Amino acid sequence: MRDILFYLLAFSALASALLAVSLKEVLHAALALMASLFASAGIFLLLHAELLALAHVLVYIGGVVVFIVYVILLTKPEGETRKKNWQLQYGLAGLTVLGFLLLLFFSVPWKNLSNQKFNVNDESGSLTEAGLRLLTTSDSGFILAFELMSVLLLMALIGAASIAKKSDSDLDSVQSDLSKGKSL
Amino acid sequence: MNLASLLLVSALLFGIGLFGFLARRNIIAALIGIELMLNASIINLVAFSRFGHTDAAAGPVFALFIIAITSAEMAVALALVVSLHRKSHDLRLENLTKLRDVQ
Repeated sequence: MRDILFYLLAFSALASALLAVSLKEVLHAALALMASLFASAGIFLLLHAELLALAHVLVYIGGVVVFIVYVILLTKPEGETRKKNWQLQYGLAGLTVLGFLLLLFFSVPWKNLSNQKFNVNDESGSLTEAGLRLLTTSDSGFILAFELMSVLLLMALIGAASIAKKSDSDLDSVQSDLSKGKSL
Repeated sequence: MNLASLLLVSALLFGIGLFGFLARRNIIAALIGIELMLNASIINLVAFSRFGHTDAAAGPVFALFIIAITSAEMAVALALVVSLHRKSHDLRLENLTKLRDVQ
């Protein structure tokens, strides 16, 4: 049962990932990315990483992909215009990926991997365990990384707001419009 | 479901993401490729933490950090996309030469 579910989820993750890189319309590609991330969240559930599956759905699908969709709607990018040497670019990218995958397949010791046992007690992926590990200061805790992450997120928030804000001249014109009583 | 099949899936996902990053010309489409690659790396982390004699809680916690870093990265990248669109209305990667020092 577990195996059937895993193969189903893996197949759908791979198929929708292929769609995400091959669909011409970027909005459709973003929706295919959403499907692929959903399937990988299912794989995490099968691996008893419930907290991670939850965070994956909430942050990736509910946050990042929705953000991508917002930006696509805001910027209205035209579908990919196939110019004269697109075949060259696709061919070179395909060759690079093929070389990378071949290198990977010949350098990984597959025989040793397959006799590793699935060892997990039901506690280890749970919310309690992960929360304790995130907030303890002992050797096995991750409190420093956790706090640094909050600083990083704050910095990214401020940076994104200051990069994406309208320039000062735009703001001036908006203010003069406001003072003349125009509605936005 | 064993470790090898998980690693195979994650390697193929990474390859697909790499292809998307290299082949697509729209900035947002290239960012979608980056998302796929990061997702593949998360699958790898969880898989290694679940098989063999390893610390079973460290993998998912580390993956949570990757998720946080990815969302920060996407926030800044999409802010750049919005700013670029405001300046030039052109989101193709080969036309982004404004920062390059050529006359």
